[in-house]
Amino acid sequence: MGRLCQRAAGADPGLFLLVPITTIVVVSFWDYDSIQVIPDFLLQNYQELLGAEVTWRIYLNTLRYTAIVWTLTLGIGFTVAYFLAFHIRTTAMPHGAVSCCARSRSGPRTSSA
Amino acid sequence: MISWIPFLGRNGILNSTLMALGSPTSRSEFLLFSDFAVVLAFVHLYTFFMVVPIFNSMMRIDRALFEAAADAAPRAGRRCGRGWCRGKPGIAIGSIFVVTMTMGDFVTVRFMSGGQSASVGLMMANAISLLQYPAAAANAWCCWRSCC
Repeated sequence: MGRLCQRAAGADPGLFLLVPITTIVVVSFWDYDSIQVIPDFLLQNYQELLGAEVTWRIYLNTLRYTAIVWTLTLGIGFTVAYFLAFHIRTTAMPHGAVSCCARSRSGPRTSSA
Repeated sequence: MISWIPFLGRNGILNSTLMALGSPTSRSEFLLFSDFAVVLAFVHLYTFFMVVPIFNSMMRIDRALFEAAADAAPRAGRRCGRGWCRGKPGIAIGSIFVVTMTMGDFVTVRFMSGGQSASVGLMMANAISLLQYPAAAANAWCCWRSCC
């Protein structure tokens, strides 16, 4: 079983990518009613989806959420990460203690600002 | 995320506290089941995924660069600028996390908007719950094609 998983994951990247996506594309042309999915070739799903005004409104709403959330998380995230990386660390340990490689490259250190 | 609901509701903790403190305005209705609530929950959930990659890339910056920068241009603003510049890989990774998860999320939108707002993921989840797999598949494929 372990070997099988290893082979499936390692040897064939298409198995977990191409097969599901191809299935989605194929199924998107099928017909359906309230109790079953019927193999067929219809464009009706796309016509109903792209023809409805609510679809575009929801797409735009999703993009709006994404833009707002991305802006806010970037602002907060950068500030928090900057504080953690450059203020917490430098107060917790001496300034040159961790950058040993830099010291050997830059030679003896003079006082820093 | 769920714990925001009793906090933000019309008779929730925040409104009760404000009323007890003698707030001049009446109870705020916009706090829960609104776009504000959705964005608040998203930011709460996903800021972590932005902080960690940026922090990681910032910790990889050679500290000697800051001393060189301080010697070359002794202004405090330059340090922040260099953090921005060298933190770009982390910003890119964090942005990928946040954008994909925000666009794919449907549980947060459903709970925090109280069903009054929708996202693409919620659209597909509703179609799947109604056994309308072909409609959800068409929607998924349109999203995929519009992205790449």
